[in-house]
Amino acid sequence: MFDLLFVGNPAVDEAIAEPEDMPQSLIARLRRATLKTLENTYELAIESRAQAIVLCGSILNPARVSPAQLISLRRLILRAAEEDCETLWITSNPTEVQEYLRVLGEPKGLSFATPVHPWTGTIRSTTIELWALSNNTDFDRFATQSSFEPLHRQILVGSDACYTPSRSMTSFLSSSHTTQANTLVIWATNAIRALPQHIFSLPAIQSRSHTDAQNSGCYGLTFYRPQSTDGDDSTSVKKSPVDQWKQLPVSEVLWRTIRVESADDDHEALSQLLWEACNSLVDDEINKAKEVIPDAMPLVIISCQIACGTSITRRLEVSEIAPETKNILRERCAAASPHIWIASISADVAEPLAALGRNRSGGRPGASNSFTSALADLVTEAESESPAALVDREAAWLALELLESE
Amino acid sequence: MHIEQLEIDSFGGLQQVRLENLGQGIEVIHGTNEIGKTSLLEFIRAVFFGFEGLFRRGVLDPKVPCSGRLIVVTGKGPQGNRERQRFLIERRHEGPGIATLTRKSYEDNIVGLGGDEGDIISVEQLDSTRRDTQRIYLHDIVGDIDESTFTNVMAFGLDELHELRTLEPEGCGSRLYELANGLDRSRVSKTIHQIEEALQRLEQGDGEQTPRQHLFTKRDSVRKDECEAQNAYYVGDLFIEHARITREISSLEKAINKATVAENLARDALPTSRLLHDWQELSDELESLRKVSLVHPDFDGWQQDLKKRNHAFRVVQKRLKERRRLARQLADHESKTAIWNKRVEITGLLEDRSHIERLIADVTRTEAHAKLAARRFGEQIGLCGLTKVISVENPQSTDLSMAVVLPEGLSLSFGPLRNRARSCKRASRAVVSARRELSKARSELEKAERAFDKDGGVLSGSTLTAAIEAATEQSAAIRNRISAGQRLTELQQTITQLEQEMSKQLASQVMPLNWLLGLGSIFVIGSGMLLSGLLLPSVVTGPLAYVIAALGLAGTGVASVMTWTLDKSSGKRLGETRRQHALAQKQQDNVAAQCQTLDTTIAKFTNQFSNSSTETHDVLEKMAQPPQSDLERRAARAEAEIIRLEHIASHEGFLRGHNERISKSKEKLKLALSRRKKSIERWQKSLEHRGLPKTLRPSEVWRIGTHRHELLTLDDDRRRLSDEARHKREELAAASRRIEAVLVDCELLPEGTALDQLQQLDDLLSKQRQLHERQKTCHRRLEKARIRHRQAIRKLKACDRTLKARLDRWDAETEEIFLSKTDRRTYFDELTEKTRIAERNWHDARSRFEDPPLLDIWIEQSSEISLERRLSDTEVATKELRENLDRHKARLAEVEKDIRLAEKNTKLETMQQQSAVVDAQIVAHDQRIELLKCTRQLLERTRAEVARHHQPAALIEASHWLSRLTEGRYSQITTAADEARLDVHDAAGVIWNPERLSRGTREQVFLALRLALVRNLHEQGITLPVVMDDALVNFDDQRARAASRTLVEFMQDRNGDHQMLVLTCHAHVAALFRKAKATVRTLGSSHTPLANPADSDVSQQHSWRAEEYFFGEAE
Repeated sequence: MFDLLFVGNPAVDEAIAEPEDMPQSLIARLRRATLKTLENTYELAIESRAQAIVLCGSILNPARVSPAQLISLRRLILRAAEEDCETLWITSNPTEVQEYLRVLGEPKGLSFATPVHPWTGTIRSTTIELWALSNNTDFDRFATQSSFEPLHRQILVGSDACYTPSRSMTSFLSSSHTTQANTLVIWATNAIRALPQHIFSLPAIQSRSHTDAQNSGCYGLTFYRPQSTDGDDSTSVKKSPVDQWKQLPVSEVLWRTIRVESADDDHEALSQLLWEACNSLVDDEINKAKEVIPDAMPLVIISCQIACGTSITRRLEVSEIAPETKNILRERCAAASPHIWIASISADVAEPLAALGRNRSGGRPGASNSFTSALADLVTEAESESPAALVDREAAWLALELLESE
Repeated sequence: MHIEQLEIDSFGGLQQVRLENLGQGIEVIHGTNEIGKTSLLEFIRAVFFGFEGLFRRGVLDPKVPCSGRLIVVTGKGPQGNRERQRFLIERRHEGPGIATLTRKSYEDNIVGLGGDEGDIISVEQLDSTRRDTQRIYLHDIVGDIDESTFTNVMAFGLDELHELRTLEPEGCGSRLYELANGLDRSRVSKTIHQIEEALQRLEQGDGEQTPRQHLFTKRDSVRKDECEAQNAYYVGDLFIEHARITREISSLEKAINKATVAENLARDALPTSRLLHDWQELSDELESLRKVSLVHPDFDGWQQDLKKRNHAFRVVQKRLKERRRLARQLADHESKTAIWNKRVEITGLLEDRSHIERLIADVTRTEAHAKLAARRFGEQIGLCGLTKVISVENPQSTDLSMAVVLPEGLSLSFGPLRNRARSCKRASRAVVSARRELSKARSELEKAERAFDKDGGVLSGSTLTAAIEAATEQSAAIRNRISAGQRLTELQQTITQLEQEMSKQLASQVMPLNWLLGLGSIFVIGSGMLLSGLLLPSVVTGPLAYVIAALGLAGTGVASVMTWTLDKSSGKRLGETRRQHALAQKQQDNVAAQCQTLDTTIAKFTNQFSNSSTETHDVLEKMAQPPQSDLERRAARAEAEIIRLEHIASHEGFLRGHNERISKSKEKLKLALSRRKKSIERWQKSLEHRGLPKTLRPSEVWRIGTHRHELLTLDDDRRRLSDEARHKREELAAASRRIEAVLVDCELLPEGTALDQLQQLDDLLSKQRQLHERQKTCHRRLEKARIRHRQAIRKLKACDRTLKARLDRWDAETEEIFLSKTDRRTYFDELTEKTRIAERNWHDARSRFEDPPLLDIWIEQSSEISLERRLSDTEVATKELRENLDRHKARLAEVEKDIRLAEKNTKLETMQQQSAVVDAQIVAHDQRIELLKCTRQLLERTRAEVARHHQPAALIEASHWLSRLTEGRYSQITTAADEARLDVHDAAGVIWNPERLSRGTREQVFLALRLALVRNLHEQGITLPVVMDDALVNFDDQRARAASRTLVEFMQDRNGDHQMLVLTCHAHVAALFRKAKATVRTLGSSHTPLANPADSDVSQQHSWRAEEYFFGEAE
């Protein structure tokens, strides 16, 4: 049972870039992944008798959305409305409400929450106000209007579109008002970044590449229940004394990366190693998805990263055997698990270079003053300053590979 | 490692060269120019790395075999000789395949000797106490070094030394940097350059647009297409319109329901009002009928006319029946039968009846006459004996009297037959006489043969003449054999005499012994004297010796002449005798051969006679006894045989005469038989010609001839009567056929005689005539019935016209209408009933109507607004509403269709997909550029860091040796941070580019660099000997001295087993090394090395041609 289901950045009009060599059956699944994920969410909402589904962030662009996508979305909204599940559309621009209504053909059961007009509802005797955040002014206005009442909950919903690099997100999210007990802040974002502790991160319901956040899906919000017995505590991602915020893996397409170590395997052995890792990963993911949707069978697109133990020669060798390994692995996947697609196999770019640095025991040639050691030291030093920046590491591996391949 | 011994079998200009006892440290080999120092350097390179490089560079000709070997010592480390190992490395370039090799083959790197990898190399461990079966590879001895490095660093000449390019990045320069940084600096530069090129390609592209701009243009194009294809509110408006139309349809459906109810009321009211109207009309009509009479006077007139008409109709029917009966009766009579049709022909036949009766009588009479004539003819045939001859009946004849026919030839004359009979008789008699003569000749022949057998018979296997000739030849052969034996005896006696004479002549030809001794001694003495006079000095012999020699010579001549003379006369006689003896011998051989031939001939005759006659055989056996008497007996026997054979020949002549007579008798018999056969054939042919059988005898023929004329007369009568009877029968048959034809035409079966048939036709014709009369009577009655029938019909039609006139007058089409118009009583009753029913219907309908008062009102107002008008108004209203509803539904369907189409329209989704792909490409492009920039930046930072903090260790080492070589004038060699460039620092701190230094200084720099590299290679386990070929030639004395000292110091500074071979052509250089306590060997002199005299002695002790080649001949 969830009170509200939050859907971040559904972006029904944004397609997922199709890999060139993907078979048509998987491409078809990829093309309808966004809407299928939304369907899964609505089914889940109806089954769990949620009061409303909250659509946040980038929902649709009237200038790009196709009629079929509009009709599908409208159909979902109507179906949910028939089951007394309202669809809440969070938009930071109040003037867009009429436009969205007209675009969708004024479906029944669609409501809007804006920075000016919040959506208000009563869930289990608690008055819920749901506001959209767009800028500091909205936040200030909201702060002045809000008041602490026991049966009055306020939910502020924002997204990455609300700020620009010139305006730091933390400038208004770090306000003390957001830490009040009756106030929840939910932030729809695609980026892999750490948010303040009191803000619920809402990743995209359907990630679109390996670089998107991994914890995709919708998120269920259950307000405080004094006698909760459903045992979801263990699976909750974030738990406060009053509310539960739980990730629900409903995505139709999952982008995953596996990392295996292979020092000297040939393409046959490497493909076997990767196959075992893929099977293990996919089993876990499918089990997770089936906990939420019994017949879920998501398409898992896997990127394989081979850790080579800082051996540049091995990295180059991996690059050479990667196409053949990929072909073998794809054939096995096509035969055994048609919902797996191996996107790429490459040497692990995230492998740390510290082992190549000065601390490495001296050997010939060059010993401690080798070029490689100097490069590794530089990268390690840069990573210690900004741990999240992996581009230096990737660049370092690329440089070493280029030098080795000369 | 050091080279202990060097052996060259063949290598360019060097042949069978050997250097021994080379030691560790520096070994200086001094020799003049063109003595082969550079070849030694190349040979050492070749043994370690193969001949291919030399072939490729053209130093050696690959077609010329070359081979040699090195004995190297390795492993002399801290444990001394215990680690010492000696290896023999032998390399050969030979084999039959080298004739096809060229320098180009090696330039292509595809050809080795014999198709394998290259030269044939063998490595063998010497002085090994273990039986180690493990194969030793050259690579294990040489270490991890390639030929290029060895050539440029460890085995170099002046060419390699003073050129910087040998240490450029492509060569060992890269190794210098690798030693310092673990990576080639040039590779870093090249990599950065490649990254910059890639960035340039990514950022600038090849054409007018950069790849990023191209991608953005593509994305903008897709977005533009999206905007053009997009109608954002289209689907929403469709749904809004759908909802509006749905609402309108709902309201319309309600309105239609109401209108439908009103319409149904109006529709129900209309028939109800009609019922009221009907009731009112019926009531009015009923009232009007009640006011007038119900039956008209014309009704009675109609009844009378109708009665008349029915009577006329019955008359017509009666007349019609009568007419039909007569017509059927007439039809039952056959109008025309075949008899009736043939009545003319039948009448004609009946008129010929008397003629037919006469014909029948004539036929009977003529047939009786013919039979009588035939009987008489038959009797006559029997009388003349022709019964068995003419017994065949003519099957063709229908007349029995003509069954027997006389032969046609019977009318011919029988005279020739009598002549033929006489000739046959004569031929038979001739045959009988010939047979009698033949039997007589045969009996005489038998008598002669019995007499011949009595005389001895005929010789078997040969004729009598041949036997006589054989006996004659045998007799002649025996006579010849006797004479040949006598001649042979004479010749044997002659040969014996000639042999005796020859022995006498031989004995007289031999010279006497004393003569021979005297002449021989004179010859010996003269010869000795002659020889002594010529050979010995005249002082010893003197004039006497010449005299004695002359005497000896003269004696010798005399002896020789006498010997020759004697020998010539006796030889001539002996030759004559020998010739006679050979001639006699030859004759004897010929006679002996002749005797042998005659003996063979006699033996052959003996065999023949043994086969022919036992008696003759006995005689010849007796002749085969002792030669002479036996031969004579045989000759007598042969002559007796000849006589006997001549007697037999005379008997044989008689036999031949009898045989000839028999053969003549046979020919005569044969001729008589053939004549008799011809006579018989002619007789038979004559009989056949007259139609008589061949078997008739002449007596039978004679009897036939006597009755022949009477037979012919009877035959003519018979024939004439028979023909007459036949003509009568044919005439009667023709009359019968005519009657039968008429019967057949009348479809009657002809039976009986012609008279019976005529009677039948007469009866049938009379019957037909009676039938024809009855038919005519019936036809007349039918005509009368027709007339009466037509009169009745005219009367019926008149009645019908009267009735029709009454109908016309009442304007009635049928009788019922006329009756209903003239008699209205039934109609009145029906109308009364209808009026009552209509009244009840009206009341029922009104009670069923939904709103009866409303119906009454509508009926009351029907004068103003009719019910039809009311119905049509409601129908129009309902129709309009329905049409409106249909329009809305159609529109709704269109909207739904548009929605479905919009749902299926994936054009925008395709564009979204394209846009996503382009976006992904842009992101990937940006990420790649960012990554490359970051990589470039990282490499540059690393390179600067390395250049700032890490100077190559090898350059530090090189700096040390440069300082030693230059005695401190140049102190350091460094490398630039960002490029492959060496900097040389002098003592004043000035940095020099090596290219700007003097030649000698530059060579010192490169020598120092090589020493550093050699040390580094030694540290890596590569201990190959260093070989320098005139590397110090450009050094002045001071530099050369410093170099020699430094090199000795360099070698002494190293632990382990190392060797440096310094090849030089300069004596002062060798002297400098000698002063530096290096071992010096001088090529082309016998000077022993100062540093190691013991080794030098050893090498001299073992010197051979190779050392002579290098060190020259011993003085």
